[in-house]
Amino acid sequence: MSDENILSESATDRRGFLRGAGLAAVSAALGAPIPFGEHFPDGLVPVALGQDGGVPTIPGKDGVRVLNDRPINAETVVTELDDDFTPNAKHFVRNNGIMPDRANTGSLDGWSLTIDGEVKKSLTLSMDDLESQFKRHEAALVIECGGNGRAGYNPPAKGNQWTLGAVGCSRYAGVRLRDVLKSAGVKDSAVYIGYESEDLHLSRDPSKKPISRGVPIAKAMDEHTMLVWEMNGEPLPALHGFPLRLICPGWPGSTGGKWLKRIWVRDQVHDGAKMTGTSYRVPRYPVAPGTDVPEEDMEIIEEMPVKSIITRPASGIVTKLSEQLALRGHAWSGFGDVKAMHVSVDFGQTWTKARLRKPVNPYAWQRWTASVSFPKKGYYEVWARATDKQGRMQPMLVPGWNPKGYLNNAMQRIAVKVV
Amino acid sequence: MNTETEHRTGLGSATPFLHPWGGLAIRGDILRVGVVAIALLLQVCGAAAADKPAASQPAAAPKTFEQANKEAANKSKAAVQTFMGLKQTPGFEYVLANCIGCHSPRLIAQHHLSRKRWEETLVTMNKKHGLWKLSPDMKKRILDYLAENQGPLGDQEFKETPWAQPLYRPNPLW
Repeated sequence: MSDENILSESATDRRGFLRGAGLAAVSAALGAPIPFGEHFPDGLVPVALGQDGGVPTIPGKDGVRVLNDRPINAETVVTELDDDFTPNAKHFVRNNGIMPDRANTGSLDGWSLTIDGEVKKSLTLSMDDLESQFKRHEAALVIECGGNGRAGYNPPAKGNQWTLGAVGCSRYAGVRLRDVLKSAGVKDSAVYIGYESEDLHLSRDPSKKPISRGVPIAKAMDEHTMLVWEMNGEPLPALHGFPLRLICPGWPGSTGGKWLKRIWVRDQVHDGAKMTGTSYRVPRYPVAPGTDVPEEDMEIIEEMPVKSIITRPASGIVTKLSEQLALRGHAWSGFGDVKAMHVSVDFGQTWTKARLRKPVNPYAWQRWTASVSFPKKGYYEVWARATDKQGRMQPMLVPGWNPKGYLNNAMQRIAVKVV
Repeated sequence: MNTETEHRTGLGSATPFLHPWGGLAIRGDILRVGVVAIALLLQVCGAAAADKPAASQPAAAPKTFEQANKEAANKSKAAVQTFMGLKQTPGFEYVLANCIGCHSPRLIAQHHLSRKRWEETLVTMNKKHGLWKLSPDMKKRILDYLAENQGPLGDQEFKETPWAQPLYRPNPLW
């Protein structure tokens, strides 16, 4: 079975198949909002749907596992996150809508960034303006989806079932958002910023936005919050927001809009798509798994908790008793640097301190390495645990259940057989 | 509504079946004849095989660690034909007709929710994301499919990951 390229003609072809099939399936596949669902003709069935199409792939991406192709959501296989800085090809993708044509054509025609709302002077900036009027800033920044680890919650939570790989740390270049906001002059009435982007809602209804989130003005003015147009030395790839995206490091990835068009300075908490209801929110108080939580009791997620991954070796490795096993990975926290990293090979009874590098800059992840030996042959698990500056550790089990399955920072474990 | 009644009646007489290699629409009743014939054939072959003495078979080797992991990972892959992760069992066509205009079947396939949570999801899709109003009957058919095929998973099949899994639980992420 050949692989299915989810951006290629074959995706269109697949829809082409449908065109000759059931009327209902045709319309469904074309995305035309025709209320045919009530009139699906019996016996006339979509054909050529018998094949699953193989493993979905995304051109330009490597080492990722596609969770969803419309919208595109793909996470990185954890062992593929071993690089010091995540290459563009390996960075996870979380799209909410349909990518704008501009991202695919790579054209800046007609593009500008608007800064307006609670500012003294609204700005309309071209890419040249951004590059020439503000000081260039570079940083390696962790972007992690708020729902990374969602697959661990039970009862299962709604949303993409990310396991470990909705995280990456790439090197970005652009400008500080605060430099741009200062140039516009933020009024005292400013409370929050909201971004607006060029992507389309999945229904293609222009009155709907797929996502429009933001952060409080203090986070927007933080020196690490950036508008970026370069990722690992290349123009921002289409999937990552060409031509410009926002990054609010340490906070859920969704706070940083891709395919950016506007930063709207608000005099209230931004109420765009996926800011309200249950999106990117957790209960204000701990709840029993499966609880129905009233929307008014949900609060917006801000900092992401301390977390780490084991990138070497892969789980399931077989190793010799006579040999030391080298372990490595990364650790990060939305609250600042990670203070310590520990590993255990005896189900958490004793812990060994791992070597932990300092981050290259705030909000970059930190490399950890360790070497362990085993007392006798048998089945082991390596557990790895990061501790942040405030002394908070990763929990052994999934942390507090929440309806949308956010903030799972449970320790990663790998299986090791010693022979 | 007339079409609705006809639809329901029609469904009872011939279950739509998705032809695995395309080109033709096959009615369930025609297909069932073929299925029965193949089943009979297999039964005959199976009986013949069972007649042979099993003594010459070597005792099954104990499962290796790797095999156990592989089996665990493959366990939830059912024999039924799937389309982008969704099982092509009765009711699949209604999900296809009402849901995949906007998003991929893979978004559905990732979820294993109770009927109540699926119902909430349909309400959200209607209120916020442009899903047309479903008749109570159509809604029931879709929910029947989702509850049957995308309900909560049992502990053993709880999580399928592409890499080997530790064998001790309870962290259900791996």
